[in-house]
Amino acid sequence: MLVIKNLHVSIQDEKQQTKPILRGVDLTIRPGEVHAIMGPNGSGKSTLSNVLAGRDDYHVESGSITLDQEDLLALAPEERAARGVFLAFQYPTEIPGVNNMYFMRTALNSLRKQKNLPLLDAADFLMLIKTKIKEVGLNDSFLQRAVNEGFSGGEKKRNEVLQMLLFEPRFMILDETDSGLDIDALQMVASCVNQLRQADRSVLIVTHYQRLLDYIQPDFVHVMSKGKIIKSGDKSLVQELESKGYGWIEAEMTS
Amino acid sequence: MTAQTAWDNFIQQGLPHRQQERWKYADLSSLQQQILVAVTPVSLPVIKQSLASFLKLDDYVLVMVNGFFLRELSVLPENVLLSSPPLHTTAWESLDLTQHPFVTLNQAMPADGFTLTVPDHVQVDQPIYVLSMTLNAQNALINTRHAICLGKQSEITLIEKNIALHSDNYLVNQTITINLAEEASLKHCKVQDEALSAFHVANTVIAQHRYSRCALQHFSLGSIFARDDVTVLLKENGAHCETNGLYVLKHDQQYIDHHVDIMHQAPHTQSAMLYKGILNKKSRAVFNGKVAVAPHAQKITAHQANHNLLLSPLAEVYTKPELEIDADDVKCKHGATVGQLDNDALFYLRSRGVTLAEAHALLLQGFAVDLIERMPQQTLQEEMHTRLA
Repeated sequence: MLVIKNLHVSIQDEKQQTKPILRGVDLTIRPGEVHAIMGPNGSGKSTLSNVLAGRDDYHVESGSITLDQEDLLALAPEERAARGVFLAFQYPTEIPGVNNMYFMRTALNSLRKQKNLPLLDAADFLMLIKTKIKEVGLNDSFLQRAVNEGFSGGEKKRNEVLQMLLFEPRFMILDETDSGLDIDALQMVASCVNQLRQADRSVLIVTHYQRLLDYIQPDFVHVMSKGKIIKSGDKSLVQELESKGYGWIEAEMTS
Repeated sequence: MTAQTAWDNFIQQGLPHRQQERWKYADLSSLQQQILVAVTPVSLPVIKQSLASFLKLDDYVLVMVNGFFLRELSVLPENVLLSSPPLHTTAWESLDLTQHPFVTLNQAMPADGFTLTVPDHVQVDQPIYVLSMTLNAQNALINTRHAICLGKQSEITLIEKNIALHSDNYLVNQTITINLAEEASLKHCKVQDEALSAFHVANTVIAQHRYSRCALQHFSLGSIFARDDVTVLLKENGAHCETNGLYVLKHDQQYIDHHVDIMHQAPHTQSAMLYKGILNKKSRAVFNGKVAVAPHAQKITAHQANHNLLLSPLAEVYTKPELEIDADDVKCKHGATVGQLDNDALFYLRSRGVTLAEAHALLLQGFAVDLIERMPQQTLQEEMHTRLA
């Protein structure tokens, strides 16, 4: 489904210096699989998430990303979304003045239009969203507010999961969705992801902690350090990381 | 001032030039090169046909075509008084007219218009449209003059629309004087949607008495050169005014210039000013908002803000919020911003499948929504939202 080959990505810092962030990432995610990427701060995990979704602040130096054999890097963010890519943001953007419900209906209809599906009118959409919003534990008043504006950290993450339930993406990226969440919110995120888990849908979870992975069992776990995946394994790797930290793998690499 | 005196003054003074502080960004050279003529009359059937799509049968409306008031097409509530041509007013005498040369020109020339009088205690709940249309006019000088007088505790909403059909290179030079008696309340929403080759110059002076309330909203979309001067005199205790504006410039060489002067002349008066601009291509906007507080005008509050979005590297904004405070117990706040569309917000929307064009439209609507929501009618709000995209 998703194939990343030898991906090198850089960013321009404030002094207009080119700074490499990803230095040769290889990753293959097949339909139905759940992968987790862990790793110390600054290792490039969030960069990878954002490059997958199409943020243009990053410069892809070399390498490729394909989704179902299609060149993902050649597509605009909205085209990637139409093919089923969804990024749950680490820091969801506040958009003053843009009504949350109107935004979600515009987005859903834009996705449906790109897939040649009939558009939903305001009444149909309201029915749909009212059932979904209960599942993420937000009350209806959040629909009438501006997108993420003044939401608490937890409310922002719930609003991300709401969109995930609504758009039913085929490839979901959770960029530290668990950070800053209390245990109830964490369980809600896990149950929503598990509910969406099916044979043709894949998940990439970027996280620092074991907690979320206790609830969403990953098929594969990768450790990223200094812009590369330096170790991959099954979910037992999570426990090992939790008890020993990242140092031993990094040491293993350099020895 | 007689027309003759005004004419002599105007001849002596001429059109404003850029050495004058209030006009330093205004390039009137294309107006100077132009020969403006009086409008040729348009027959009533043609007018009726042209206006049909703008008029609804159940609206109250005052119709102006090419600067002439058309009583036949106007519909007013029964308890409101109207005289046309307008009655003589002394409202401009409190202003330094050397700063307002187009007012002098307006007084020097023949002008039609109306005086609208709302008697004490009369409250009209349905809005009254003022439809000013320029029709089949080329290079015309259209000079109009209105006065609006609200009696004690009276209340009206005016929706002024400036539109054009088959007209080019004309100049609209409009003056409005407004007087609000004790506890009167006026909402005045203006939509300036002139032809893109037109000059639109408007001067408004408002005198407010005890506890009167005035809300002005100026939405500017059209014309190549627009100048809008508003002076509000908060003359008595408790008077409150809100001046708002949204200007949307989408075309090369489009220029708009707002000068808003709020004069706090009495204690416990309040003012709030919010103007926002969206500029594309090689357009320019000037905003000059001034709050002046007289020495004895204690315990007043004043807010002013101007926010601008530049969508093109060629667009320019000159913004100057000014405070001139001679009292010592006041609350005043002012600020201005010039920025671009938020890249993070654009990416967020697009990552959800919203196309680039739709994402732009959503963000522009989001920027302007707090002003658009104040428009007195739902249909106007929807119209304005679609005009942003």
